[in-house]
Amino acid sequence: MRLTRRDRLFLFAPLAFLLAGWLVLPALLGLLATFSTYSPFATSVQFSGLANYAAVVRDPLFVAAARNVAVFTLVAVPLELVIGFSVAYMLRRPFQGRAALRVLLLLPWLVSPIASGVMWHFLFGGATGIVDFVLGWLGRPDMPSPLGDLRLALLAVIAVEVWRMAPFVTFLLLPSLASIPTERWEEATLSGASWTGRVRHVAIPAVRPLLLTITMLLTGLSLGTFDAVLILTGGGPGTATVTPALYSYNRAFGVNDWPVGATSGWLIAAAVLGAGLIYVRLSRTKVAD
Amino acid sequence: MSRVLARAVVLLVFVAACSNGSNTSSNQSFSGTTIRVVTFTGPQIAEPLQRRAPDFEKATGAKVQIITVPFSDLYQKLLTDFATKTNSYDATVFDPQWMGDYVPPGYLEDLTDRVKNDSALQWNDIAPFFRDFSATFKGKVYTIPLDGDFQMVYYRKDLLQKDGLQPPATWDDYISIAQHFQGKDLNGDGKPDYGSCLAMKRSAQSYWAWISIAAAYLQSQGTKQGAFFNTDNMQPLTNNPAAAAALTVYKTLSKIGPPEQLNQDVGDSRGLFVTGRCALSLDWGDIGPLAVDKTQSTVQDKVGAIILPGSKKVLDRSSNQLVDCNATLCPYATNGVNHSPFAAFGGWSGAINKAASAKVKDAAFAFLSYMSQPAQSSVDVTIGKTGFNPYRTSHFNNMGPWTASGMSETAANDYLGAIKSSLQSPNMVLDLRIPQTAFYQQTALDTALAQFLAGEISLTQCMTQITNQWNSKTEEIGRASQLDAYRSSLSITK
Repeated sequence: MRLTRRDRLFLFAPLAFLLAGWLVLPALLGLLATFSTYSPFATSVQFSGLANYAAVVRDPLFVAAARNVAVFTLVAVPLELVIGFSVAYMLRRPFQGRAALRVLLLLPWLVSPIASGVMWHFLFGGATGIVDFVLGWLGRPDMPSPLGDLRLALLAVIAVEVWRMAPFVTFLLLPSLASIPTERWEEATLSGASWTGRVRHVAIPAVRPLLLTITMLLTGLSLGTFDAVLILTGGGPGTATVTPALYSYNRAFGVNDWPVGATSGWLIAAAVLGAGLIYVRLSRTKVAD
Repeated sequence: MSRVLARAVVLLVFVAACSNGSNTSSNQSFSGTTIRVVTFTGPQIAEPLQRRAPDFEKATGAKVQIITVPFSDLYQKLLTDFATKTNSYDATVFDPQWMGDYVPPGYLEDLTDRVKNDSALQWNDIAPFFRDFSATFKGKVYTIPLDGDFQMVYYRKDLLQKDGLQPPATWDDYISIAQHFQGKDLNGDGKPDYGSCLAMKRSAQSYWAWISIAAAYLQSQGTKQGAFFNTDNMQPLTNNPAAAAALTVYKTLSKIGPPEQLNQDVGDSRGLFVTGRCALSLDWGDIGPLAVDKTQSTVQDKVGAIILPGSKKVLDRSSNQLVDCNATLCPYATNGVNHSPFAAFGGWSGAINKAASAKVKDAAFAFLSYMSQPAQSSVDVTIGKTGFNPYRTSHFNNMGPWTASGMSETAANDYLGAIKSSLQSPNMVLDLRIPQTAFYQQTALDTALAQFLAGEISLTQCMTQITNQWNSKTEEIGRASQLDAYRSSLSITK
């Protein structure tokens, strides 16, 4: 059965209604706020042009946040992809309990970032943490929490994010890798392909569109990283782990600077949009190929 | 004759009981009236309100709805509700620092006459600082204090006694005691422990700790002198030798404590202290009840508390120099040491929405008064989970509830002694209460302090950054109006 244009519109209408009311409209109101002095409590609103954008990009704190999120995305996303893909590759052959294991892989992602932030705060803790416990058990001296160390805090936050997302990547890639016909693996083996050759010529081509989508998803999520950082470090030590989303939250909800909060929020949206455009472009290139 | 006397006594007791009953506006006088009280999710603060509301309802006929919202949302929810005239809340138990944003636009009910006319409230039993400064704005009463928040220093009495050390009188003493114990095993588990445990995490409660240190150097001539701005021209007091001295102490302390101290909030530092891992700590009154809690404390009866350490040198505002205390500069000094206890945050307080109907306002006031009256509050301040700390003279004089809570008489005397000496100080520092206080403290001050502790900026850059950001915000809002708000918060009338 082929859907007509009218059928498609009819099916899309409920989603469009929800998105328009609860996403598009508030987002557009937020966008308007970025060009004004709007605040829910303001008695008058004035047009301010691009002043809010200038204030945000000139703020050294936002610059630090942008730098941090760039490092975060450039390190976390490839790590999540590599670890997620590697584990999925190892689990591709059927074995007893694979279905149950696949469900377990979802657990870190299912735990809310706030909850995992609280958990890792204690796990990293020098006095109470699992790291300290294991070191003590091995007779090694205490190791202070990396979250309190200027040089290690961002890496620790990245590690928590990788712990949360890499199993999710495995969960998403596993069905595609498992569905590659056995003949193709055998063919590659008979033609003398090494392990890396099999990955390059058999595995990756089979999951490339999905890999691209996952990369886009992870990039978008990384650019908007907020809740785990809020709990783990609050953006510190110093400005070591502050992110644009945390900056936006603090400005809008901490000190009621709504225009600046909305402006930084829209700058994150623009970055995600940029990543989305690259994704669309790459997808089209693939289709053309 | 004795029978007549006995009858007279019974009659008097009956009359007294009836008059006590009137503390909650008895006779079902608020029957049919609903009071919507908003506060934060808690469990602290909300717990005593929820626990005591049924008794109040029974006595007065009023219905009390306790609405709770996350702390991070409370300020905004209230401001939106007031500004948009939605008026979903009749009363609030809130952070009195927000008075600077709520009182000038006329959102809160003036309670001056009500507190005067309510004998059951025993207004004069409330410590002068909370009565005359914390509850007051521009000379008028807007809140009923329910909690006495200020910071003090806790120390391990057993350790100091064993090593022949006196509790710290100055911040220099605090540093030397912390250095003495740093790295020693303080709880017998064979592991090195810490001289001092402070909350230094960013976006947490750390900036209050710095103000507690800075207060000793910045304010020496009474509460009205103020510790944040010059009360003549609203110039910040954040770029001078006193601020520099406080920053130096703060940075030194960041290195005499747990190695991950820069990522610890008060929950972490309290946990470390009550498990015996720290010799000293700086905190609100919460450590007192926690230290006697058998389920988590290993330092029962080993903890002493004292007024915040002071300084022998203070800022001479005429010369902008740090100079030795003398009778003129430090009129409230003890043995040449200026102590400036800091009412950080200020203590949860109740206020009434001016736009509520007259009957609801009466009922809301009766409820807030009931919560504050000694019969209720003297018990609530001894329970850790209420989050309420002592703020009335009777809270110190009536030892019964303290010993009933599990505190030994010695521990209670130590704990209450520190609170009493802080509360009686005429040099208590009032926390900042001007429009956009949150920006001045949570954004500008907190960020600069975090950067300074992490070594991202120097001491001079830190002071300049705070001063510049405070000045720009003041200019943006209006220097004259901010000065007026600051002076009003300090009850400066001339």
